Formats: sequence, structure tokens, C-alpha cells
Amino acid sequence: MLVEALRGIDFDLAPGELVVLLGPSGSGKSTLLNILGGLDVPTTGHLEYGGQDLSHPSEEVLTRYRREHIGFIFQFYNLIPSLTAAENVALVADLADQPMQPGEALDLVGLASRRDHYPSQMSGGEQQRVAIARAVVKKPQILLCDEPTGALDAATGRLVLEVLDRVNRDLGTSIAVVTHNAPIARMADRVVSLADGRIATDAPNADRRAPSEVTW
Amino acid sequence: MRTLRKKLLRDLWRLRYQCLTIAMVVGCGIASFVAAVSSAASVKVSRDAFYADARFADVFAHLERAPRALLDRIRELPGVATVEGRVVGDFRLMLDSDSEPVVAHFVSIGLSPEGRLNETRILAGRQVEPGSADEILLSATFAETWGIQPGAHVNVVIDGRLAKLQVVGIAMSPEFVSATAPRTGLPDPWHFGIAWMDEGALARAAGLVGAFNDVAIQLAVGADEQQTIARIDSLLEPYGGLGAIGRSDQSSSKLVDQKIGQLERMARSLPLVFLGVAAFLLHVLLSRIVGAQREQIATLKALGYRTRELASHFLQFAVVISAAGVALGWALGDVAARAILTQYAYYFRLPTYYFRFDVRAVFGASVVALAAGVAGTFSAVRNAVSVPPAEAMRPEAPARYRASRLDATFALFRPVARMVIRDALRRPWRLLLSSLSIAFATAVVLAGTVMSDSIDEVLRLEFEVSHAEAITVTLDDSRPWRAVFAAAHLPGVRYAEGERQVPVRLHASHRARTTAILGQSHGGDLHHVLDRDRRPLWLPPEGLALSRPLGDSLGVRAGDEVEVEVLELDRRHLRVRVAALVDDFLGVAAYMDAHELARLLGESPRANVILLSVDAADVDAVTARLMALPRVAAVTRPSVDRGLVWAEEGDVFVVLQLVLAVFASAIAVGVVYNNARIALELRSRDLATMRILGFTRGELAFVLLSEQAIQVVIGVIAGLPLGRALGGLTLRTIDQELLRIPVSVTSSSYVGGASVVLLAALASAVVVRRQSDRLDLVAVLKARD
Repeated sequence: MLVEALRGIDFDLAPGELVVLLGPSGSGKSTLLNILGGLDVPTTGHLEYGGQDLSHPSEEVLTRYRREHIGFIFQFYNLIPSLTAAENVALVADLADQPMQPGEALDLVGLASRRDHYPSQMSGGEQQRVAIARAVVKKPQILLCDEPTGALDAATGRLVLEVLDRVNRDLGTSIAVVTHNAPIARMADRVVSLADGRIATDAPNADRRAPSEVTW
Repeated sequence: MRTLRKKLLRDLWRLRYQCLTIAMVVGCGIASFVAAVSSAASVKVSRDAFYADARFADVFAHLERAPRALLDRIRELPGVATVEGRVVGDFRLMLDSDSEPVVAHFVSIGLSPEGRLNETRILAGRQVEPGSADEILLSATFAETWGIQPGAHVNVVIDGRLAKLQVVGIAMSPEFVSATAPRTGLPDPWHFGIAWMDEGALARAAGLVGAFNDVAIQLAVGADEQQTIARIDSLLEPYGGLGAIGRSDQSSSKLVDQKIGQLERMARSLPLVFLGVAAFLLHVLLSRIVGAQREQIATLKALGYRTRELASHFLQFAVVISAAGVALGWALGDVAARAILTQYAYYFRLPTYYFRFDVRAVFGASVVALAAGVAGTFSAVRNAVSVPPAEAMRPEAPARYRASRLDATFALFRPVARMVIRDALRRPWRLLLSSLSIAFATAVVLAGTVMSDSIDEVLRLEFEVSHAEAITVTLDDSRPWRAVFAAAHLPGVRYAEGERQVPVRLHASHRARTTAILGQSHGGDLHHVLDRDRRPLWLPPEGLALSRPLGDSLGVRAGDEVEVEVLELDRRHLRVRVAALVDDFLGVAAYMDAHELARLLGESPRANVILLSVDAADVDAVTARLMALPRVAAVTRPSVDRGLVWAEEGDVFVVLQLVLAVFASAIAVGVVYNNARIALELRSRDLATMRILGFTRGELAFVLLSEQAIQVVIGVIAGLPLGRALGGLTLRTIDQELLRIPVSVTSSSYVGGASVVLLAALASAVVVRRQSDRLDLVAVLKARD
């Protein structure tokens, strides 16, 4: 039996835009994010990045796409436990042509002082900020975040959102955040909500707020 | 609990390749044990059945000549039950031999009042007709080697006359289960066989009518063998008796005993080493499999399962794998034991080989293997089931790494390399144990080559370095030294040296050993007895030098005196000081300076062995000339003898070597495949993250497999000296009186041993690499473990 995770989706992500994708469990938001990030390929339909057709890509093309253009933020951070903060960042910097300095990326997330700490020596919020530094160090055009605050308390979550906000404003990186936490939508340029594999609403947010004003 | 059993089955199926590789290692350990124990038991039971059935004698004595009336006096000795006087003699057969003479040892078939001893079993054809003058039986190995069928005729030279005899049957006898040529003490069916002939006919041919020159005796129940032998000796001494021997010194029986002993020693040593390795592997691998399921265990506990139920669940895991290994081991061992028996059956002619599966020993080993499996899992299961259920509810904490002083050094490496190094160093025990497993695998495969290398080296030393002559001539008796000069003047001979070998029995307190004293002349070029450092043996100018095992078995040390009983016509008894125990490596012997020996024997220099230096092109011609000479008993070549020893000892080791290589590959695959597979499972999250971050499959494989590569490299390097040691240990299973082999390894064996393990590791790595390529990125990120 074929289960359709997404149907009739028509979605664009503009340069410099911060989009929040809302929806309950099973609405298809993670699948959409996976397709955007080149982790998954749609059964039918058309995917394009900057004029390049990614509908039926080879493994090599997908790897290069992720390597050159996409930054990922995971719900559970997914830092490599055997590498320090700076090394986790450097791990990705090594892959890029013109990356930032790992120190610079850590500075951006306010963790320059923890550069030599291992993941096990940091709090969840700190680990997530290192993950953001790791994602932005290669200066990706797109940052995809899967429940970035899902495992964090509200105060720590806000710190992480502030970093994302800064990355979006200062570096001009397009960001797509998947969350079931509706208040986060207030910091977005545009809010897309999904239900049953379809886009239910897709509307610009006229009143984009700073993360510090977001509460839940 | 039924669901838990389903989980067990599913887990076993999911981890089937890992389980299979572990079961293979257990199986190989059990198999080697089963094979050695069962083949030893089978040879033993088959031999005992034949000995009893065919009435194998207990004591044997050879003499010059005695009237048959003497047999009645022997029969009256206390301790003697049955006596059979016989006529024996070695006669040359005129077969189409390449160049060396073919000799048959003729034994008479007579009628003893008490019934025959050492009965022949007819395999083909019929028994010799009593009173027939021209019928013979031939020993099976010899007849098969030469393709002689019943009905064929052979020409024999008896007392200088050619006789045409008909082979009427092919036979075997408990006396010649292994027909060893007298000079080399080794089975040599191309040059030596046994023939049985009617007693009257053989006595007439050998000029022994009304007389006998050999006697076989069955002892009464409870008789003391040594005392009876002494009584027989004193009775036979006036008739040129050469000293009676018990069964344990009878050449065929001795060789069979030595082989059984070797198998038994092998059963006690090698498989135990292997089982130890298997238990150790089982421990390492099962701990990791259970360790990887910590979170599942916590979840099951949160769901209400008892600690005891979970512990039993995981112990069943170990039991199933070990039991599969044991079953595999039984099957493989049974096949291997039958293969060993088939090989032995060529040299050891027994009418029936009873296959004896030594159930008790095998059952014992199986229990040991199961216990090892359970013990190996026990600590891991105990740790795992003590996980608090709440752990399953929390996000996984990152593994702990701390700053270390080595971090500055690591800065030289790229982060990916740092990951590998830190992971390896974070669990030094795991690294150590894995490397040790690989080291064992390397050692096991190398042990097999060490054995054949060492035997090869000993044979090279004995037959190329120690014996530099092209031809060895054995005379029918000791002859005055001028025989050596005569040999030196034969056309084609460049140079000749004589040696005097005197059969003796050495006595020290209550112990006695039958051996020979080799008179060595200083300044000889063709024969140097070597010591274990490969240098010519140093011989003291006075007194006897004894091979160390000979001295040990007599309980004498340098400085002690032994009584030398000369087993020649002139039966002297002399007291001689043992000047040294020497470390030669082939057989046991006593050595003495040739002049000193001649002085002791009160004779002018004599020789019974002549060594000849001959141009390779002339060897055949010289051999032919020698064979025509009347006093020549045997003409042999060291190069041919080398092949005989190799056939006798080497073949078994070649098989063993192959088995060990398979076994080692099983270990290497077991270790590398399991380690890499577990690493893949434990690190799938890290690896998937890296894939998403943009790393290629190749870069991931580097991370996954370089840790395995480190283990393999460390293991292989450590395994080389370990293998040399293990090989040395295995060599000790050879009867020490037969061969004392200095361990020697060629560099190509080191390369070969390392290559087997590296290839097995590489193959496992390729398989795991394929599996890592199929990593499901999305699924990995959804699940937390």
C-alpha cells in the first residue's frame, strides 16, 4: 500500500527568507524538509534549486547539493561526541570551498569560550548552538531546521532562535524551520501550515517579531 | 514470554551473519578437538582390536641361529605363555626399481603347538599352502605401491641365487601395521616390504633347517616383562641373541604409539588454545551485541519485564550461538577425524578402522564452550539489565570525551582523523581486546606454517647440511676399514668416509634403552651431527655423548656412568662415562669418538656404513655398481630419505596448516565483521549526520573502517611473534625422541600468515562498507538510537 506523505505541494523558498512550517505529527512537514534538504526524493513532482533540476538526482549530485548549499539543524543536535565544539564545526568547514573560520562561527552563536569543550560537557542549548555554528560555517544558502527547540526548555530555546534570527539577518541565509510549536511562527517572514500532506495555509507574516518576544 | 522469545528469534535473524561468524569460531575450536580426540581414540581402539584378534606378541628377540629344541626351554621360563620360533631374513627383490635396491623382510609362517602369534590377515588372494616352496604373501602397502596383485611372480635374490616366487595373497599383520625400513626407521614402501613364506621353504632357502633366528613370545597374564626379557636374553645370548624387546620397542608398534601420542598431545594442547580464543571472542562480541541493546532493555523494564527475565533472554542468545557452534564443531570434527584416519590408514595397516566418536571428551568440550559463551555474556548482561528504566525515556547523552594532553598532537590531524583516533583511544580495552583477537587469528594461521617451515628446515639441516654425501651404503656387517678404501676406488666415487655404528643397550640402574653408538671420526667431511644452534655437534674426546632425551629417559647426567651392552656377536658389557648430554634434533643416539669406540670394542678400525661423495651425473651408475656387491645391505640417498620423513611427518602438518588457515580466517572474519558491524550500529547516527552534512560514502567508510584497520594492523604485528611461539608449542606435540625441532620461520611465511588475516579482514570490511552505503538517513534521524 502506498502512503502519500505529501500531495499537491507547491512550495518556494526565496533567498534570505525565514519560513516556519507548522503542522501536527504526520502532516508531512518533516518529509517536506527532507526533500528540500536532499535526504529524500519525491516519488513524483519537480524539485529545483537555483535553476538546477533535482527531481531525479544521482547520489553524487545529492551529496554535492547538501555539501555546497544546505545546512542542517537537528532536534537532537547530532554532534559528533568524540569531537570538541570547534572540531565539530571544523568537520564541516573542511568540506567547503570558502568557509568561515570555525572560531568565527562559534563567536556568532556566542560560544567562542566553549570551543574546546566536548558535547558531553555542554548543555542541550549549547550543543544546539554548536550545531548551528556547524551548519553555518560553510556559509550555506539554505538552513533547514527540524524542531530545533524540540528538546529544549523555553529560555534555552529562545537563545537558539535568536542565533537563527541573527544568521538570517546578518548572513542573509534562507531558513526553513519545521516545528509543531506555533508561537515560533511569530519570528518568521512567512508561515506555512501543513495538514494531511497538503499545504493548508501559506501566508506572509506582516509583523515579524524578535525571538526574545516569542513565548510558549 | 512468548513475545520475548519472538524477539530472541528476530534478533538472531537480524544479527544472523554476526551470530554465524561467532558460531564458526566456536565450531572450529570444537572441531579441532573432536578431530584430534576422535582420531586418536579410533586408531587406538582399531589397533587394540587387531592386536588382540591377531594375537600380537608381547616380546620379540632376534638371534644368529639356535636349534628349535631351545624353544622348549624358552617355553618353560616363568612368565612365558606362548613361543613361536621363526626364520626371518632380508632379501633383495628384483623389481623395476629406479636405482635403489628393494628389500623384503621375509618372515616364516609355521605351526606352533599353541597356535600362531602375529597372525596374518589375508586381504586378497589366499594363504600360503603349507609346505609350498615358492608361494609368498606380500604386505598390503608394499603390494599397493608396486601394483602387485595375487598371482604375480617376483624374483628374489636369496644367498646369491635368483628364485622366482608367486605372490598368492596380500596380507597384513599386527607386527607390521607400519612396515619400517630398518635403517631409517620409517615406512618406505618403494624400497621396503614384508613377505611371508612357508617356514620349511624359508629355512631351506636361508640355510636354517631345524633352526630359528627370531622368536615371538606371548607373556603369561601378570608376568613381569623386564624380568622375563632378562631370562630370555640369558638363554639366547650363547646363540647370538641381540637382546629381546617388549612391544613398546617393537618398531611398528612404537611408531603407532608415537602417532597416537602425538594426536593425544595435540588434542590436549592446540584445541584448548583455540577454544580459549573462541571463548574470549564470544565474550568480546556478545558483550558488544548486548551492550548495543541497552536502551531496548531499559524500555522492556519500563514496560514491566523483570530483570531476571531479561537476563535469561540475553543468556539464551549466547546459548543459541554457542550451541550452533558446538553442533557445527561436531559435524566438522567428525569429517576431519575421518579425513585424518584415511590419511593414517595408508601407513598404518589395520584390517578394520573402527570410528570412535569420543562422546565423553566431546561432550566435555561442548560444555566448556557453552559455559564460555554464557560466562562471556554474563557480565555484559548484568551491566545491561541494571540499566534504570528511566534511561530509555531520556535523550541519549553524548558519549563522554575529555580534553587530553594528546589534543595538541591531534591538532595536526583533520577532524575526521581525530574522530577515529579519539574513538580508538577512548575505549583502550576494546581496542586492546580486538587487536588481541586479531593477533590470535594471525598466530593460529602462522602456527601452521611455522610447523611445516620448521620441519622443512630440520630436514634441510639433516639431509643437506648434516649429510653431505650423495650415497649412503650400509654393509651387512661391520667390515675392516679397507672396505672404505675399496669403495673410494669405485669408478665415479670422488671420496669415501666410513662410520661405525654399534647396536647397544644402555643400562643405568634399573632403566635400559636400546640404541646405537655412532663412532664419529674427527676431520670427516660428509657427516656432521648438528646441534640445535645448527653448529657441528661438539663431542668430548673421551666417554659417551647422549642425545638429551636419551639421557633423561635413563636418568643420567654428564659425569655418570652407564653400562653398555654391545648387541653384536661379541656381547661385551662395558662401563663408560657419560661425558655430555647433547642437543641434537633427530632421533636419539649415543655418540663417541671413532678411535675411542674401536679401543673400547678391542678392534682395529671397522666400518658398517660408508658415505660416498659422488658427482650427480654418476649417482645412478655408482648405485647400480654398489647393488651388485655381495656385502652391501642397503644403498640409500639422503635426498630420498628426506622425502620419506616428510611423507611421514609433513603430510599431517600440511593438512593441519590448511585447517588452521581456515580456522584463522574464521577468527579474523568473526572479529573484523562483528567489530565493524557493531561500530556501524553504534555510530549510525554520527555517520548519518555526517552524510547529511555532506560527507561522501567513501569519507564515511574511512571513519568506519580506519578504526578496524588500526586494530587489524596492531593485531597482525603482535600476532607474528605470538604465532612463532604457538607454532613452537605445537611442535612439542611431536614425540620428542623422534624430532626436536628448533623453531624456524621463513619471511614468506610471515607474509603469508599476515596476508590470510588481512584478506579475511578486507573481505569483512568490504561487506560492512556495502552495508554502510545503504544507511537510511531519514530513518536514522527519526530514531534516537
